[in-house]
Amino acid sequence: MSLELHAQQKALEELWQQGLSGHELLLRHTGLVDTFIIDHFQASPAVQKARGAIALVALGGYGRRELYPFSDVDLLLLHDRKAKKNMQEVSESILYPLWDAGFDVGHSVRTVKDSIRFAGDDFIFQVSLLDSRMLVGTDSLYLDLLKRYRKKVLDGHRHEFVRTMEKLRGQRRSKYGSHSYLLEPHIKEGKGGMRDIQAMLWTAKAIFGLDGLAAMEESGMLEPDARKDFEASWNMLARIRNRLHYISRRHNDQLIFEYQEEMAAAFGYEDRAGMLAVEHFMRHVYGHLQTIAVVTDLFFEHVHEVLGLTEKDRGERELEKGIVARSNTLRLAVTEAELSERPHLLMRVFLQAARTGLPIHHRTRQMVTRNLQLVDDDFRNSRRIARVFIELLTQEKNSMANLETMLETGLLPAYIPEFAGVESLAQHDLYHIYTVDRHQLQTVAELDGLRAEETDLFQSLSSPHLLYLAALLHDIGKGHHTDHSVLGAEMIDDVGRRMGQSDEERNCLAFLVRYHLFLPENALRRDLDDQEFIRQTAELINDMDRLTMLYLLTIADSKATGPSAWSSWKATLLMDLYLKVKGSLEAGCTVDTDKLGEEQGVNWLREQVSDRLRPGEQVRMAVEELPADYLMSFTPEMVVRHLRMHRDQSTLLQQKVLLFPEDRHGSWSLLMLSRDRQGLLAKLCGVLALHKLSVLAAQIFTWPDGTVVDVLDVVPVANSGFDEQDWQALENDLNLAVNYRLDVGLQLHNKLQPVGHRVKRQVQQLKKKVIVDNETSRRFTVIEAYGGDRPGTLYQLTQTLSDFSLNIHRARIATEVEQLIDIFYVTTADGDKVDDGRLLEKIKQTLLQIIGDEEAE
Amino acid sequence: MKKIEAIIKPFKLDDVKNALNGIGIKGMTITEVKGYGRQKGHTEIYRGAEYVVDFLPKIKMEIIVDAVQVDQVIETVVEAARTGKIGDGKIFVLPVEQIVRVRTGETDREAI
Repeated sequence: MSLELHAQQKALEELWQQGLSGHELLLRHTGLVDTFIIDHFQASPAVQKARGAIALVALGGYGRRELYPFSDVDLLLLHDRKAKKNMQEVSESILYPLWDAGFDVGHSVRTVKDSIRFAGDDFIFQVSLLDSRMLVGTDSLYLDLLKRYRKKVLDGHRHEFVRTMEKLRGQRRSKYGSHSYLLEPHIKEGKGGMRDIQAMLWTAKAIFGLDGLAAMEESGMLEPDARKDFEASWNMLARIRNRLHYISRRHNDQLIFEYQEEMAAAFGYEDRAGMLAVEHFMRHVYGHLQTIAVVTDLFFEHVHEVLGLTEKDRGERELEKGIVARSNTLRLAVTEAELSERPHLLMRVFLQAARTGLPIHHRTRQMVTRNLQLVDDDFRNSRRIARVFIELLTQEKNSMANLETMLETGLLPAYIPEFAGVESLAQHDLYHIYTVDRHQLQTVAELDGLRAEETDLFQSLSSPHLLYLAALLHDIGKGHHTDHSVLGAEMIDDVGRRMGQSDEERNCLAFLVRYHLFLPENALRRDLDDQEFIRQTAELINDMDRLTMLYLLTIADSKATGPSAWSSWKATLLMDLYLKVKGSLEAGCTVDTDKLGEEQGVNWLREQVSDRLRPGEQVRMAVEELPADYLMSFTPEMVVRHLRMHRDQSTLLQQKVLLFPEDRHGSWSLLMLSRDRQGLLAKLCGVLALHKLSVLAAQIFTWPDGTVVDVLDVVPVANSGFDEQDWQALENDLNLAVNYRLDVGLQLHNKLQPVGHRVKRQVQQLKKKVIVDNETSRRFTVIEAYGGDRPGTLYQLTQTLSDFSLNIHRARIATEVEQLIDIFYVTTADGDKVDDGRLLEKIKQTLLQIIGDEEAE
Repeated sequence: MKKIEAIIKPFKLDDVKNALNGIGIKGMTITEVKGYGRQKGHTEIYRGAEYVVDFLPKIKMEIIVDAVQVDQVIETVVEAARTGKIGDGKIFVLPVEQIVRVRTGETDREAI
């Protein structure tokens, strides 16, 4: 007979392949097994021999007539005391054939009394009895069980029942809600899965005596629309689970990765509109799970309230007109007519939820969903509502749950229609564990976490709300053919416009979305020691605020993607990139004064300088006329100091060089003010060399009135102290030199001759070269000279550049081992780059001669 | 049979992988690791305070090859991973006693 059952199961699988639908298949399968068991029962000699009463009862899924292809068959063999000694034989005659036919059988053999006692102890058995169904045997035995079950187990234990049910539900949520199950949902135990459906049906039956969805709808517990969606989702999940059992050939309820593609094909999904078939399919699966989760959530909240399990607090508190807090939930205290007069309440109730941290009552959530037609173009374009939305989004206490509720009620996609395009959108890879909509909410939540961890970075932001908006919407361009960053940048511009964001703010939003993958992509792929790459990145981002926002967005985005997208390893690389670009931005070597953002930065600096001058204080140089690159190289305080020196010593300045040395840790910073003269830097360098000071870096700025502000960082050649240095003598020599009273070249030659000898031998092995670079900087020709570190070389190099009538704007002088690397940023006297090839060649040869001088000796 | 372990800079992974594919090496194991050698780590100024990055992110590749191929693999990795700066990495060669392919039970050379 088992052969026959096997053949029938085969036939059933064929019917399934021909398209037998979800629940129908379950019914037929249950029918087959019923017949098989009843036939065996009736043919069993042991049953005929037994003197007492026996009844076979189907439990659980089998009892509900929902027998999936490889599900367990749960049986209760009920008997009275007289039949007890026959039960061993009876059960063998039923169970052996079932086992032989390949079923997993869950069985128990009990009297009615035992069953009731056990049901009191074991909740699983208790609920499985709710689904019990008489198969064959003595009816009165089963009816007796039912009567006593209701009286002894259910009645008077309703609160306990609901509490246990919710506890189990919570345990399932935490166990099957973990990362691995997000990517590969568990159709039975996961959130919105079969267990959630059963938990609702069991509770309806046990607490309210409502058997099935129809009865629930009739009683008003389920809205007709919700029931329809619910049934459609249920049926789809049933079909998926059938298929899962068939293709995995076992009792498997997890929609694991390798089956997803096969399922998608089997259910007729196709690649379309830039999305894989499997992504379309999974999107629907997540949608169905979501429908069931939302309906069952609402149901349990309702039950809670009806039974009075909800904590009572001190009555009602009005938070604002139309919104009240009662029993630790928020509610809209308006009629639907009043709501249509004041649609902004739809948004305000979420703001209150964000402020108070209280959940929104389920009736209010349903009310929001029912009234989404109020979210029209006026609503979406309203500045007032945009302000509320932005406030709730950036609330410190705002929880993920609040945003999720906003998504689930449909308010978020209604308010930002672009969001609807990514609802439940799945990405078929092992990397993205959330659907795109959840991922974006998660990114906002991660940002909240970062707000606590990276307080300083957050506080440095001038408009944190832009970062939040970008986090919420950075992936809205997904699900189309094209690059989602580019498309998303266009889309967020529309969103920003509706929310009344200024041009500048919208630019920033578009920038953040457009480049949200830039840092993570490049942190791993590019050589972070490559200065050119860092410089280009700094130029692309071009703003400290944007850089910091991009950095925070990257961390939040990565963390919200999944456990494989973020590690301390990646964090280190990303931070390295961030710090290097930050350094490059701060150094301002790449400043490009024609950019809008920078002009604003410079204007801001001018204001800062003006603010620091005393009211009515006169200076001899208009703050407005100070050059941008100068302003960006000093703090406003230093600029003010320069201005005051310039004013107080104006007469002296015409003839002399004013020297202001300062001891910085590790080096001395020399500020020198003077009038511009041909070859000034060369003379300064020469005199410094005479005074045994080695130059590390030089910045040279010229004000429109011809005042030169130079800052040279120097270290003493001998290990002498700051106070030992004869600064007065230095200043005197500087003045002699600029007034053509000191033969710097000859002096150097004489004075340094002995030292030159010592250095000479080391220099022999060094590589000497001169590189002229017109690419790296937009405004300057960069000349790099590598040679031996010989005092006086710097004087000769700068003097030579001056001879070619080049202005030196910046210089970096680095010493590596005993090698000297001089980098000069120069322009012609007209302020242009040097692009005359022949001239460049000449300069190069002359410089080479200087640094190669000693070889010739 | 030898195991070649190469520690390289993360951004060089694609280059090295492609170069190895080019000489017929198809299989390798990649791990994200942190460590330091002569490069030591470096100090960054972060939020105004000095921040010491002591372990630097690197990629560790493990490749199993027949002994005759070792030199070619080393040469390829060196060529592809080299930037000439400090921190380019290191390569270790270790003997492998036995290999078993789990699915088929094949051993040693067939299982590479």
